[in-house]
Amino acid sequence: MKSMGYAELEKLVSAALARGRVRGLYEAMVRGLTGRERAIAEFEDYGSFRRKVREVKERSVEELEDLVEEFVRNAEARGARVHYAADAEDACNIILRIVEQSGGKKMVKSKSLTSEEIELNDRLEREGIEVLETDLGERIIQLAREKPSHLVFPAIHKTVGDVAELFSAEAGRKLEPEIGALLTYIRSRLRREFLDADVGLNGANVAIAELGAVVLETNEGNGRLVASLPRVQIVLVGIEKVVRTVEEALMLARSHAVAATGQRLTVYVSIMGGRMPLRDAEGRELHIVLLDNKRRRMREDPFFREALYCIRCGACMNVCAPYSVVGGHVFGHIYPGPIGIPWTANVHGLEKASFAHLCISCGLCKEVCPVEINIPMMIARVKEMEAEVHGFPRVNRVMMAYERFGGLASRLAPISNRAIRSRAVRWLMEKLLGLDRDVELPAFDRRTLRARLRSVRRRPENPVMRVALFPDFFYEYVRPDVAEGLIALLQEAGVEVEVPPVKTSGYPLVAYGDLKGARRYAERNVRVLREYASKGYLIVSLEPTATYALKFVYPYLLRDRDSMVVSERTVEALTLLRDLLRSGRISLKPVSGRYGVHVPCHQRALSGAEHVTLLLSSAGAEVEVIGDGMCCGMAGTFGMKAGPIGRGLSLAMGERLFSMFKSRELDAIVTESSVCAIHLKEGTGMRVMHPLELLRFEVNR
Amino acid sequence: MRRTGLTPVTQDTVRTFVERFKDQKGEVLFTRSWRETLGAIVTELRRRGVKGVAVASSGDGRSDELVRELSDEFRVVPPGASAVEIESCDAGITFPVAAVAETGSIVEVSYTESDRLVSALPPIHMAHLKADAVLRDLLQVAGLIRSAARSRAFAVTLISGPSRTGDIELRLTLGVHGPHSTVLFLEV
Repeated sequence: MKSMGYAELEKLVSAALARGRVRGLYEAMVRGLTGRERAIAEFEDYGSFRRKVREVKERSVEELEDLVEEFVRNAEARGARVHYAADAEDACNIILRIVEQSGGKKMVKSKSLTSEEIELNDRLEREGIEVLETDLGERIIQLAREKPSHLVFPAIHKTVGDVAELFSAEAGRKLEPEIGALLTYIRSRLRREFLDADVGLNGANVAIAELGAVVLETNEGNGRLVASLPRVQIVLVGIEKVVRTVEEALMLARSHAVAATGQRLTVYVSIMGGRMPLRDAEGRELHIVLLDNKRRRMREDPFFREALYCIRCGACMNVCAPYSVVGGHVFGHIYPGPIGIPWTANVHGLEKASFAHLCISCGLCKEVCPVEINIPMMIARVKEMEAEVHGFPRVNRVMMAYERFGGLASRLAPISNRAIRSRAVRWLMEKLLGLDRDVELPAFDRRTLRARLRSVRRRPENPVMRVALFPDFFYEYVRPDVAEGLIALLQEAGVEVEVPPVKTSGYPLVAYGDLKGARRYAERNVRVLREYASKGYLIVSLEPTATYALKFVYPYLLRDRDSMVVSERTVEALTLLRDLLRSGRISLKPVSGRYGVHVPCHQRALSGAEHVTLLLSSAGAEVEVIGDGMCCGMAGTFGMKAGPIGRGLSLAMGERLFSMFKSRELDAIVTESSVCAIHLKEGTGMRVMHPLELLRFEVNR
Repeated sequence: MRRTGLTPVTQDTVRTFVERFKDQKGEVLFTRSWRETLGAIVTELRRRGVKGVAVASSGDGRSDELVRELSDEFRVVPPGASAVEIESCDAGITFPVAAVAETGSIVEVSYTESDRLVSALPPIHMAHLKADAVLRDLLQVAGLIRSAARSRAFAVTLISGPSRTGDIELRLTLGVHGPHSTVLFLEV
């Protein structure tokens, strides 16, 4: 059954696909990602900095009540009036009252996502108060009466011509479409307002408990004016923003700038306590509004607690492939992008969070997050909650039954293979199951990996090591020959190899939000593999997504010791081969030619491109890693689904990557992911190979 | 950089700071004494066609001396002025207490809005700092912030170049609501 939200979303995505990409959005995202990389390169050890930042947020959320109390005590000692707001309406009422009591009719604002969360502007304007956004991008959006399309660059979809028109209409005279002239206009236009405004409202990036002070970051310098010029200053801040110490606040400010824009710090980082005097100005006030709005409830939730670690940098948006295609107006409610999904579900309601279905579970948002928030698992939980209300969309149920389907297709091969090449059957499958009729499905092998091993199994005497191979779906049913080749090589090198009675990884269930089902897969596989691990077997996995599940997803789902042990014992097949190569047990035979490497998303949390490029170049091949840091768009079975939320979006996501590959002179594309391979082959028309099909080894005696 | 007589470690820190501050579009002019700085400020103000200058308080004698030095040639708004007076100036001169090499930032401490506005309102911001006040790491600023926070009201501002936006077509443009030029006279 499709929920109302899902059907509505399909329409929105169709329209977005027909319109084409949001102007400038992709460029903004790539700029964010490359800037971030550059800024990270200046750290001696960014990994350790990132862990410390996470610890700051973990500790702060853990001690939230204490910290809020300490912050309030210290802020009040500086003369601030602190107000508690339970929810959005409460916060709007409090702010409205402060404005009314000030006698003012006009408010200047610097960019505050929290004020957008509570839809403050609408409320104030309904009450006859004029609100002026002063951040350039926000001001453009406000004049256009639109919503931001990107967290850091809200007006990225507007051209300089669009902006000139908007500003000309406001100015009542024609302004040239030239950035310098437009900036001169907005500077002098808003300067008057800054000097005359009765009330200024800003958010806070961090609040410091030990000082009762807030931290405000801006690049344009508007935040400093909003905070200093008006007689009455209001600071709106979510309770999750409070940390204990100055050092912690500085770390967050640094982390935020690096992840958001690749800056070392935002141009102006102001740490402000109390209200300073200004000559001739009397009755200066500081109000701090502390907002809960479901934050305490999120804190109690085992999944959503992590959402409170968000420092609003927008890095997760910059790496999100579906977001890059449809933009924040479709992939978002008020909070856009990946982290917008759990926030929306919690503060604006589950029904507003149906854009969760656009998440393809590539997991990259977690990889770029400066606080390493497990956004993918929170999104999976939102999908699960939606399914608890509306049920799973039919096509998602079909995709989650992939293991049964694969087993059957394999038993019926080659008949099943002929059937899935038939247009009529495929038409029927699309109608009945939602599986796209045009996507190329792999041919199934009648002799599964396990069937093959029954006839060839031989154990080396006195093995040098023991390996439990995790074949997953593809190497069991589709390309058992590749796994078999690996096993033969390992055995010849003196490694004992077993294929334990495991199921497939079950990751598609995570992707579509059946966390209970995914937990069953995890329990079963961990139970089996734990036995092998305790006997000293190394667990070796061929499919990046399966490795990712074993290493990161199972421990999260099960939260027990056994899954941790399995995680620690799991390695990628190429890692094992690299180690055998280094130890001199095997050597590489030469490989000639030029290859483009595609790193699957889940592998980026593992070895990335490191091992595959090392092995290929050691064999003498020319290798180039190609990509823009985002998902190729296949995303497991997502790209096999018929319709806009499936193959439509999937192909649009892949376009840029396809042209990157096609623009190079390559003999083949190399990737370890079976499903990325299908997508890349279709999108580029090029040959796509698994590195094990290309690499040849010999065993040293 | 000129010969400085600083220890090699400090020299590295200063070099990194200068590199990063400039990389963020800040300008750095080296001087060897406060006396030389006064002359350099006058030269720069003239070169940029400045007429009105706002001066922040330095907490020592520098702001008074600067006001005296500039008053013959420029319209000078002394420390403690109103927002409108500061706004009327083309340039503002402040006295940061430190700089940070790691982030290429200068650190200003203010206890009045007038002082803070001197680096916020005019289109040109100039500042004077001795090189021995350049810190290596961002976290070393924490002590300064705590000490500023002993006052009931305070603001510490880390400034990493002139104000900027990329909001229109991602094109980096300097000088939006804050200064378009940030010039540091670094006394080495």
